Amino acid sequence: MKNKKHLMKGNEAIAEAAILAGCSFYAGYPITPQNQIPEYMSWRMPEAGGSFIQAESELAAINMVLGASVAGARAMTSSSSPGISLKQEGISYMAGMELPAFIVNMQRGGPGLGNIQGSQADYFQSVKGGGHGDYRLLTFSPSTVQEAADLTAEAFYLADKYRNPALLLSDGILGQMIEPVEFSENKFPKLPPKDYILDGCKGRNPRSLFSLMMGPGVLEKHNFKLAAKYAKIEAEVRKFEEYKLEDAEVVVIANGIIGRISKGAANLLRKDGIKCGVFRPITLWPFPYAEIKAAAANAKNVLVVEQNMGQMVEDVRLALLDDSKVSFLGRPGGGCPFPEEIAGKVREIIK
Amino acid sequence: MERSLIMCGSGGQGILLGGSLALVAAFCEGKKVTWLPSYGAEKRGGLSYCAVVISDEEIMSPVLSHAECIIGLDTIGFNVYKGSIAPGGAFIVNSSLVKDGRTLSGCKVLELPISDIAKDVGSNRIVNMVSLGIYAAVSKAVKLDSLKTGLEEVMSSRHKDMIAMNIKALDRGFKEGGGK
Repeated sequence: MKNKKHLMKGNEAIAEAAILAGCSFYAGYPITPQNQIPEYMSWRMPEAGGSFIQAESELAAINMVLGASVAGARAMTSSSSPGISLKQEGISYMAGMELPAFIVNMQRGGPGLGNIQGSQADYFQSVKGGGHGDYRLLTFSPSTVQEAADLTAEAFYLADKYRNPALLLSDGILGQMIEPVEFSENKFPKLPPKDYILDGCKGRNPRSLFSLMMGPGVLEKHNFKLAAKYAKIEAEVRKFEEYKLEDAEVVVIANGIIGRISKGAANLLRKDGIKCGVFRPITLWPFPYAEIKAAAANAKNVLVVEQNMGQMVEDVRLALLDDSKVSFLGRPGGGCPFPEEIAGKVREIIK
Repeated sequence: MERSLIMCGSGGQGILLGGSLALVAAFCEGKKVTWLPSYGAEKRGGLSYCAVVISDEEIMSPVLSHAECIIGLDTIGFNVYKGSIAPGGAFIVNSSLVKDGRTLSGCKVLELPISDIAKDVGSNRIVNMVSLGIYAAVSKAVKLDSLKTGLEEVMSSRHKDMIAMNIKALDRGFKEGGGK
């Protein structure tokens, strides 16, 4: 599969990238619009020598991933919004136990069962703690099929490096669309052997992994340790794309597929002499607060565009601490703006 | 230069396969491409749609408000997307099933009895291929030869015996569309 361009759906490319990243365990439960991931894994994973399990429920799937991670496997699950809600308990446990795992959420419209169109309504759930407890999830938002594949490989690496679950937060559009993708050689540094996994204690002291810490002060100490880890990740991991920002008077901030459509809007506006650029966060946690502040420093206006009624815009406001510049365009419930609609909103706010 | 195609009609007409063939053909020519299907609880006879973008440069938006070419194979698709043709674009209308082609304005309209042509070539199931032949002739966004090469890739192995008829359909569509 490597070093050759393939035409693949986003979902399939993520599954293949996971296999090539050394994922040896997948458990999931079907839900639209991500079903090509388990479908692909069902034949590809056995071929690659790993295990594929169609679990009896989302709850079972996430706990199987937890167990596989305890045993040292590169483990993964995928689902779409309602299914990801069901997995939050397991995700919180893994964060508490400091277990790496790779989770894919191909978002669909909500709340509730919603619909099966693309959406970005799970931003809060992903970056503000969808499960209980004081934890953080490495969160990546791709805008092309190629980037989805590349971020999958990187997410596995970073999850192992920091012993933390990582989430690929994408949507039904990217999952279903076909684009060329090329899988490259694994370019990440070698990681030390996992010295925490439970793989039989013959010849060494027994280990244990748990998230229940009842002793006086034990859990507080653990949370301080987690916080220090999160601070380290925030200092070391931050990905974003800057598009035509050098002279931009209007900065559109959008992630994922909307970030890409916004670049199309910026090009439409520039044809009419309107200096528009795009800042596209790629990691949603850690969120590029400082970079957004710098990118917007010389702009007269900032427009945040999301497929929801205003979630990431709150982080943009935190980054800027200046509400006077910020406008918002939201399309909830599976709606998706065309470049023309985003360009129209920009024309309206600069009037 | 960015070329855009919307192919629409009813489930069972091979809309998604047809769009994928345009995608594969352009990809074989070294172009950047995206293909996006309509995605819902679609079924045979229901609305079917896909959007294909072909470009020499990075493709920003895989979603299209307007396309420079639309292939409307059935009334259900035609009615939903008749307003999505870009000014001066080309609308290929299957006049065997769609009777309102003449109501279009501001674009080139090619009304051809694509279902009847397909039956004449050999099967009603190859309307998609006839329409792609017409598309190659009218838009010149993909080459007829690339479409033929792409067939091998998009057709599942159990239908390989149908390739000859599909090639005939592409050729006939190309001719009907005025291609030389």
